[in-house]
Amino acid sequence: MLTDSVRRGLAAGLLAGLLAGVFALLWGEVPLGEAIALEEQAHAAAHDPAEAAHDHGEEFAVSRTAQQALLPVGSALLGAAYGGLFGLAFRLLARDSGDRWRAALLFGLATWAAVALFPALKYPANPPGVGDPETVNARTTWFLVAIAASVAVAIGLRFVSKWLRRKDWDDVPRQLLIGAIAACVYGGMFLALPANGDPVEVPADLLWDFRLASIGTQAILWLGLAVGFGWLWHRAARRETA
Amino acid sequence: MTALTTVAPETAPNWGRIALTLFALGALVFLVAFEQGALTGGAPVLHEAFHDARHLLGFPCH
Repeated sequence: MLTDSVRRGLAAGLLAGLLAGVFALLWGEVPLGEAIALEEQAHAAAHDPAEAAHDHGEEFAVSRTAQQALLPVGSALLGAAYGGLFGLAFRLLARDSGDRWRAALLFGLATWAAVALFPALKYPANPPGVGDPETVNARTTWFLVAIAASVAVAIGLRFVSKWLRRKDWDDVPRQLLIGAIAACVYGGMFLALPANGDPVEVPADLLWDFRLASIGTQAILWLGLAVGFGWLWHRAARRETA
Repeated sequence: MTALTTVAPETAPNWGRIALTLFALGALVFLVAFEQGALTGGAPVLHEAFHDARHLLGFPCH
């Protein structure tokens, strides 16, 4: 059962990650390429030509073409890893649900909101050239704190909700209460987490296009994972009854 | 015999296997999304290889 759930998660995540990578290649690479061009322009303007030529020697070890080709590979690997973890979490947290298709969709929606959407709203993705290398460790730490806190709150709310259901609360007041607590806690965390203070010096429309592509890529990965996972469970359940 | 194998009993979770799965998948996430060159002798090979994927999946980058 556990192995089945992890295996289905790995398969659904690999495919969803690949799909997200193709989307990112088609829509995300445009603003990403523009940001790199701007970064190189700024870099060239800041140095005299002799120094710029010197800089060229210590350029990327991995070419831009290879970086683009590895984009769907990276997203597929990450999708598979997320999928396996998703399958594990589904097995441990949502196993008692009767309808696995519906349960997987709801669980996937909640996971996407907690793992990807909330951190992306608090610490939105930035294109290349934005971000002070000095602050990368602090930014990475706060990004991970945001994900961990967000997931912990989501799991906590699930347990409160199950507890209230065992206390024979009706669905509507129970869901209203859980929704209100979620809004307050997530709102409070959004205000309490420190802001990313790095200056963003790229054009606003480029930034918007990049962040939209980033949110889209993550939504395809997580929601695609949920749909694929739910479908695999549904198919397995149909086979069992047949 | 077939009846016994098709109805799998509900066993207790195997915590060893869960820990191993968590570790392996966590390591994969770390390598794709966060590793900055410490494992490749200081040169950020994985950082550069997954550069575009990291940016578009929203991970903090340089």
